[in-house]
Amino acid sequence: MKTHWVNIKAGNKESFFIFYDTLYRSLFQYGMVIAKDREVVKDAIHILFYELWEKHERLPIDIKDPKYYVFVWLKRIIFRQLKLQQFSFESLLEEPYEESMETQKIRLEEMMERERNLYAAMAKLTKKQRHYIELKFFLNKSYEEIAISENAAVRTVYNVIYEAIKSLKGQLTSILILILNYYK
Amino acid sequence: MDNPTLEKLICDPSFIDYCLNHESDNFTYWENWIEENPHYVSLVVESKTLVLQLQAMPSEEEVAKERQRLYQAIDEAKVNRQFLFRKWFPYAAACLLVVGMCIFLFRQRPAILQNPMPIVALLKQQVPAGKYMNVQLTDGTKVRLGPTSTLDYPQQFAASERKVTLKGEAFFDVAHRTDQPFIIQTGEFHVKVLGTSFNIHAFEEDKVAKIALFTGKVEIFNDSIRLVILPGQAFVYDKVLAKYTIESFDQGQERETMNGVLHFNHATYSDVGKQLARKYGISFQANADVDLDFSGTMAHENLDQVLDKLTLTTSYRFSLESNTLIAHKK
Repeated sequence: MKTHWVNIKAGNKESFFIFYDTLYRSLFQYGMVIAKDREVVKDAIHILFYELWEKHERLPIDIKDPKYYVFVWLKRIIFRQLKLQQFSFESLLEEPYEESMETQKIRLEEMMERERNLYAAMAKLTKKQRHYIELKFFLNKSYEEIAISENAAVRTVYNVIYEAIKSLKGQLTSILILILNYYK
Repeated sequence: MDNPTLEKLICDPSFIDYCLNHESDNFTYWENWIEENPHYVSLVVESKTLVLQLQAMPSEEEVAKERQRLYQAIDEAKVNRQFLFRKWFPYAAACLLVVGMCIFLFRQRPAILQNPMPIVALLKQQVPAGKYMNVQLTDGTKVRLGPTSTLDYPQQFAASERKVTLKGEAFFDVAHRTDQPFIIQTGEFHVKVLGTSFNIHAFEEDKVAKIALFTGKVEIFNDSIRLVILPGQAFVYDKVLAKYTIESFDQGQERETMNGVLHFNHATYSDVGKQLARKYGISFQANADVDLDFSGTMAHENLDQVLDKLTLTTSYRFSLESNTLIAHKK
């Protein structure tokens, strides 16, 4: 990670995209925790990497963990974007409190770990299962909508997703127990 | 819900709604349900976690799309910056002059000014049978690719040389750059040029490769050969005998070749067949029994006219059977 960071500073586009590919999903998950809106998160990550490349010559070189640096950067961009969308005095009051650096770092590591595990577990699903999970959870479609668009019975759609969750559960239980408190 | 399990909860639309939307009726319903069934609290938390996590994953399609978007944005930014560069160029030039004088005075470590290594994205142009394709490279070099030919080239050339790979035939009009030679790699040999125009015929399946030079100077080399040819000269390499000759050639004819005119000079059946296959997109199979010695020109006739012409001037009857060229003894 650190090597890529140094290369990016030197203008290496290849390293830049490796860095991007490695972090994209984790950044997305992290962004979703803050913004809860896919489009906002995608835009924010886009802005993040665009700015990163624009300023690549001026990136700080003495940072310990570039990963952590970009997560904090993303958070700032999301807040900026959300304020642009709807500015109100209430939102100022709601600005989340800052946790200590250490807590934030630990959370970040946990989150990345979870994201990696989930991604690995997802990769083991069948193509159909993955597709239905995407429709159901990413696009927030109802069973009826999926059934119509995929030309299948509602019962079948339900069963496919049920089996997919069951398979995910089998592979994720250990992590799930570890992280029970996270979203409370 | 009786005997709830993680799967059951996650597959329940109202439960998903509860996880995502804190103002819905379902939210109150599930909050009450948890209160009534306190022994399921940890299961609910577990399920909720997974729902939130699943919901917060980007799909393959989204990832690919976003990556593409970033890639384009970065490319466009580069163009804009070049535009800005033009606007400030006079001022920059003035500053550069001062800096340049300083450097001239000190003449130390000129390497600092060298550009960082560009990232090499390789591009490929592949021409189908019967088609020609004009390609302009980033340095201004113009290439006209013949049928069934392939050209590989980097999106951005290296600072020290411009390197491309050719399979097939092409006309090159190379932009002149003294400090950055242009090198064309083909199967049998490489061609090094500074700025010229010439034709290359280097199909892998042909037994002869040829370079015909119109203007300038080119150096042809491989492991064993290294020579220079001059305008009006053609380098003809016989792959079977591994021997080359330098011949003069008809410039008019050679130029026409890259516009789809076929010239044959004592051509064998295999020569004619291969050329027609490339130009008209038909299939062809070599046949040692067909003893052909054909000389003539095929301009922009259609395939039927070409077959008629061959039939009239040779002792064979040419026809097509399921898109394959056939020659029968008359």
